[in-house]
Amino acid sequence: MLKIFLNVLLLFITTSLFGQKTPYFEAKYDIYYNTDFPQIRKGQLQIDVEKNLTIFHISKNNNSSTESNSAMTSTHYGLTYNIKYDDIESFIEINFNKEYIFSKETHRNNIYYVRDTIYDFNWNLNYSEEKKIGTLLCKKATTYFRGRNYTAWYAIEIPIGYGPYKFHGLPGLIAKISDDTGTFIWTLASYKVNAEKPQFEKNDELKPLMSAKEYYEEVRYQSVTEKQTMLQSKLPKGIKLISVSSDANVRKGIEIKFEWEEEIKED
Amino acid sequence: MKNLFFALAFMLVGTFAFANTFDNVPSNNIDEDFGICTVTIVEQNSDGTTSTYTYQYETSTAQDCYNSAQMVIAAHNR
Repeated sequence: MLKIFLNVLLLFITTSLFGQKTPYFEAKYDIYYNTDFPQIRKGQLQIDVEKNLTIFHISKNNNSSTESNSAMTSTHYGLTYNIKYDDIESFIEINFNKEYIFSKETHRNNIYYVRDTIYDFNWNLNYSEEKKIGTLLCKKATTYFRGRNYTAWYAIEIPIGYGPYKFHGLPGLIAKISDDTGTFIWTLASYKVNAEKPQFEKNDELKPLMSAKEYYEEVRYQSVTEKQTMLQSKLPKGIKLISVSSDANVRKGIEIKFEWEEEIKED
Repeated sequence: MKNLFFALAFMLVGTFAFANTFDNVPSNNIDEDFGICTVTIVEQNSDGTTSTYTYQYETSTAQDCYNSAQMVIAAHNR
């Protein structure tokens, strides 16, 4: 009897919360990048439910100094330089009605504004597994996104189809999502139903603006051959370059394989 | 006594021999043998991923190697 009463009470509270006119929702995430230099960041997802508009703010790295620096070490085989670039706060804004994504990216101390298309996630919901993340009961789902496979846990109690980074389209808020290598993880830390009105970016001020294709091909994953040609042209004539080797062709970021590359292969 | 004498004589001859060899070593040996300069650049991206570049140059001195490394870094930062 007590159990039935508690269930009815819980249903009443949930219905009351979501039954109210609550156009603004906020969720905070802990972000883990288990990359070559592991990082912990904070994420804040702000949602305007009525306008179908979200903005995901990503903080600077919490672990170490975010200022750029370079350090030299001399070894038996030559000189080794470590160049660490500036870290910045970034954002990903998604307009689901107008079907665009604007994001702020940084690469080698430069800031880029990138216009991307909204990815059509093909979620597999055929899982019976459930688990609690914090106090939220969550269900499992899996998907593929630009070169990585992901497992997500979405909260049945929060029936809004948004999530961190560029993820969306599940029957509930994404409480946790990670790729199958465990390199990139987003975990819900807290949420607020009646949140403050989000500050969205003034899109005409985002300059220079480039397409995602341009950004990833020409900036983020620039080919080593192009870089080598550029470097050789900048060196004085007296210095003779014997060889260049690099692992820069190995893509290590969140997004590593793109629709436009797959389209070319199909042709 | 005879053994002691031979030991001392051997040490004296050895000292002269090695002193003469040392005189033949050019003082700028390190610079002349430098030849190839290897510069490794490790770029740390904002998401903690890295890209490593290794350049090899023909150089004649350690100073040339250092100078070329500075130019490579400047090119990477542009």
